[in-house]
Amino acid sequence: MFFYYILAIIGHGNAADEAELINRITQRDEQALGKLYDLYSKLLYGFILSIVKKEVEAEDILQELFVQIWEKAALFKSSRGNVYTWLMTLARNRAIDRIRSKQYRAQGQVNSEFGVESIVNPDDPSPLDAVMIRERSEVVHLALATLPVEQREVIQIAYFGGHSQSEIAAQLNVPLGTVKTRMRQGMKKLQIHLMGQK
Amino acid sequence: MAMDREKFEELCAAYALGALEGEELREFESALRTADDDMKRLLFEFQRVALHLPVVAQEATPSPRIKQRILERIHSDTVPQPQSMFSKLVSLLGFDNPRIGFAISFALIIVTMGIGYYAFLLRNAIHERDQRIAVIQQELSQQQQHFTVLQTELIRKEELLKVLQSPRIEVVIMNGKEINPSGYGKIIWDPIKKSAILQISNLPAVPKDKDYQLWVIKDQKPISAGVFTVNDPLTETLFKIEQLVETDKKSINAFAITLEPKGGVPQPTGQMYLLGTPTL
Repeated sequence: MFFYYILAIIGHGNAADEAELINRITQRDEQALGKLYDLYSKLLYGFILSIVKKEVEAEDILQELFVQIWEKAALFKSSRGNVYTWLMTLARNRAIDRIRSKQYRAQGQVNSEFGVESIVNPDDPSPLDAVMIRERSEVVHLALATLPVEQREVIQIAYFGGHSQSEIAAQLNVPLGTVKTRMRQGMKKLQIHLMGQK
Repeated sequence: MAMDREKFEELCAAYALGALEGEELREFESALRTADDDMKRLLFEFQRVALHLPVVAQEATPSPRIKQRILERIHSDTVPQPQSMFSKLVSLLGFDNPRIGFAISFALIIVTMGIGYYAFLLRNAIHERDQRIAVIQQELSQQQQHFTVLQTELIRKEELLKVLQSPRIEVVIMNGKEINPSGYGKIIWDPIKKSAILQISNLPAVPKDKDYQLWVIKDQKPISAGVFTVNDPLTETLFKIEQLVETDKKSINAFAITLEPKGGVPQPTGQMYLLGTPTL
């Protein structure tokens, strides 16, 4: 368990190498951006898709995200977190902003369901990274699996749906206090499973 | 007032998942400012838990065109923009290269100094030529004045020649008086054409406010026959007499020349310089 915790903390692959990629991107190295794309595009695309539920939207967000990385790479501060953390935060913010837009809500949400089968290219140039991601994903899946459905549900709706506790309460038709309790208890259990804390 | 542990955990879980909003969000952020180490560690770990969640999303492969689009877009940002004409000129001249730019700037300074020195020399040459032109113009003016004098002399001599060519001429000699004994004069006139010439010599130049006046003494009364000025006694020796209409020298008692106020007077007032009587 501690091994996966370390993996999660240090990021997708080698944190120093990834930070160097970002440094090269700040120096307008297109190859470095291509390398970062190869490392993270599947994870980011899957993550974004799990939020926006539309492939076209997810691809558009992914494209905008990497252009943003190209333009704003200098804003990355390794002292505040690793590249994985930075990329996931950027991706979630963009995806949540998109689904909160009035235009997007008017279009409705269809297509991919959360939990579809993983699509990992067997010819991936970094099989070790893919294995690490897959293993880490399994660890988190297992941790989530230990939660009661009600607790897992509110966490997933909040994180992947970008909904507030009030919105979740309305969506699930349960009292707000219930949502708060479920969310707190679920996060405490995940903390114990993933961080080894009590 | 410090927030109790249970409420802090509740708000912290929602905050880490991005599900906190409004008044509760402000309440939690306020509580963070006075949070103890345990509370801060709880927030850090809840945020870490949240950062694990993306990996439960199934990886998916985006379309290959996405990477291509991204690279094309960033490549267009890095490709140099078309240069302006000025930039092209600067680049063409090599000013964007510090060494070449310095060399060209230095050369331009030298050329500018050379042009300045050339302009200085040119200005001096023009000034000298202007001075020479002024001298030449002055000489030309003097020559024109000399030409005018000669032309006047020529006219006078032509007049004299006409008088001398007449078949009948009368001559009256005038001699100098006490004030200028060496003076000498001669009246030559043509009674037929009623024209006359006065020839003088050794008369002094007249002051600016004076003129010589020729008188015809007839019936013992002086009659003015005109005024003349002598500025250069050596050259001004002949004068045409316009007012001598008398045709018979027998009726003339004498000719006299006096020095009178400028323009002449009706009757003689000044000293007599020449006097002559016709010979019968």
